[in-house]
Amino acid sequence: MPSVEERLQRAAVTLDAAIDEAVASAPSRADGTQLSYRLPPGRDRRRFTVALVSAAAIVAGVVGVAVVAGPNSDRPEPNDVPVIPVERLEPNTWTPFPPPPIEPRFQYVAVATDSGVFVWGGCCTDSPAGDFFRDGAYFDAASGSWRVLPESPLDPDRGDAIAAWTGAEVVVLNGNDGIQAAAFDPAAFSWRALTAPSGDNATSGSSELFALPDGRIAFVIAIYDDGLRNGVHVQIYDPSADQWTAAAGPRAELSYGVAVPASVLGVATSDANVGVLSVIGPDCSTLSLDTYSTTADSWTTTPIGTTDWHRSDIAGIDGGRFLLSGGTRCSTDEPDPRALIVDPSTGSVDPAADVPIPLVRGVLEGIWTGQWAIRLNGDGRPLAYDPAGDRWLVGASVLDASGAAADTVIWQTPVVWFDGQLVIASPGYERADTDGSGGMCCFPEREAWTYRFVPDADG
Amino acid sequence: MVIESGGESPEQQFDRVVGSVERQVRRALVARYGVDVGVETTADAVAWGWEHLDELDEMKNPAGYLFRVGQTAARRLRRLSRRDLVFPREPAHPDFVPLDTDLFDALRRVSADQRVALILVHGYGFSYSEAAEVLDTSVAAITNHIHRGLRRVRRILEPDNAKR
Repeated sequence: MPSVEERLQRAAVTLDAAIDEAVASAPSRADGTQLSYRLPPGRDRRRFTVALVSAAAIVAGVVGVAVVAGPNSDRPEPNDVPVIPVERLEPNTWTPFPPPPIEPRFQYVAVATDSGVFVWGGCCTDSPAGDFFRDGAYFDAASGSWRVLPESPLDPDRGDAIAAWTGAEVVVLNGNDGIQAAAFDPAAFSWRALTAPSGDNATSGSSELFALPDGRIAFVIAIYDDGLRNGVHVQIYDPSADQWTAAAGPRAELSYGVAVPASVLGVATSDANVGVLSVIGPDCSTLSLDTYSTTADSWTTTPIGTTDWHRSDIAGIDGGRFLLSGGTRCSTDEPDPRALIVDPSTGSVDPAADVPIPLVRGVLEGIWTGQWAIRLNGDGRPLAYDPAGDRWLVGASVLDASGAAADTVIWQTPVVWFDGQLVIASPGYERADTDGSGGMCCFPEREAWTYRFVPDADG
Repeated sequence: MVIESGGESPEQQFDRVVGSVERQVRRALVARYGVDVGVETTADAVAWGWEHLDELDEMKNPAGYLFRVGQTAARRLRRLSRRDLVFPREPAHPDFVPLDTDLFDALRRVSADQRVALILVHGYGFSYSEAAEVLDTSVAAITNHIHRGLRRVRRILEPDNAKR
């Protein structure tokens, strides 16, 4: 029997032949050129593109012409969705929320402040290249309305910025070749550029920005399975001095900047501790939780042991502890319902109640309400764990534009916890990957939802 | 023929900047979206490259950018008209070894990222870094997709022999 690799090599030859045939037999474009696109000398570039795109729509057998629009040309107008006070929201139900007056998107950064919700950046603009957004909006709870942000000093060279609320400003990091930093002050409604931390880019692997209890910010570069530079590097930002300070380094297996055996699976904070979940071993996993104390500037390693457990999720809970949950069994690739609570101060690793539903890649991890660790599961349902009661609650699925339950929500669509409710400012819905397209599609024209989480009514 | 600064005509510039990576981009988009959508979105990407030739010429990774342009075109196209993932049948083995499951059927059942990485690296012989460049992603991501994709494809094609 030929190996899979041999079959792939032979299949590629067949695939090339199919490609050549498709190119050769492609219908003529509207201007007489073919899909094989050898350009006639002296053609006007703009006209050529419009002709091609128009013809592509015809080839696709659809009505209408996809014309390239300039940035923000179809920016929606603000609508009149009312803001309903949280106490009047129906418990455990998604309710329409005023959408931000910017184009729908995913991968944007969303942060809850003391007075509202901040959103910025994201992917992808309507340009043919699908460039990243550099605009954003702020929901002011006092007025119950969104305002478009002034232009930020950050370049939109990637869509997945990270941000944290200091108590006075939203600090945002973005950047692909080097990092840029800026802060938005909701009270002054203005940006200022900040000194940037060191690093190749803002969001490698599991990198995150966390607000610490003392108003400082922790920037955790945590690279997953890079093969060259796995590891962790923590920098602490002091807003009063506009200064980043490198923290003490972790154990050698997690050292940043060199090839190390460990891969980082996730990071989270709990109180003043930064937790880093990592794995050493090729497949079936030896997990460890390394905890950095931002007050003592020191690391603690808590071995989780060999667990046949891969890609579990990490969330901070109370008392500097962390919840590990979900993931898959390495031996079977099947979902694993196990959950553990790790207390780095004592080194204890205790079992928690099993996760009641399969964890689908999460939209957001790391919301800690003071009683509940909440995430929006990839199937659209809020999932919450109460460490005091050792119980899980499953909420109702987020709705789509028609009001029906959406089976999935698009990965990297952030949800924030604001004023006792989950707020999703620009949802996208992910269709089942029945055709191998990856399933990512379906951004609604304009939508936003809020979810009032009432544990007792649900439990 | 108009010769622009530097003694290079637009057509020569196009061949250098776009033509040199066109085949790689087309193979990647076909692996991602199937033959018909992949070929069509490559045409859109290359047309965009013509319109933005100077801009593209200054980029570090024009192949990766054109792949992204093709992805955007595909997303738009798929929103307008859902298409099947079209691939040819796997060729018969020259030694007439019976093949229970068509390789392309198996490739339809892995994630799109895994499928593209497998076809580029193991099918077309791209290095990991070449595949990462044309897909505008990291070598680590390619490594991941290859590792997991191979495991899944083996489980589909060789259920009795697949490493557990």
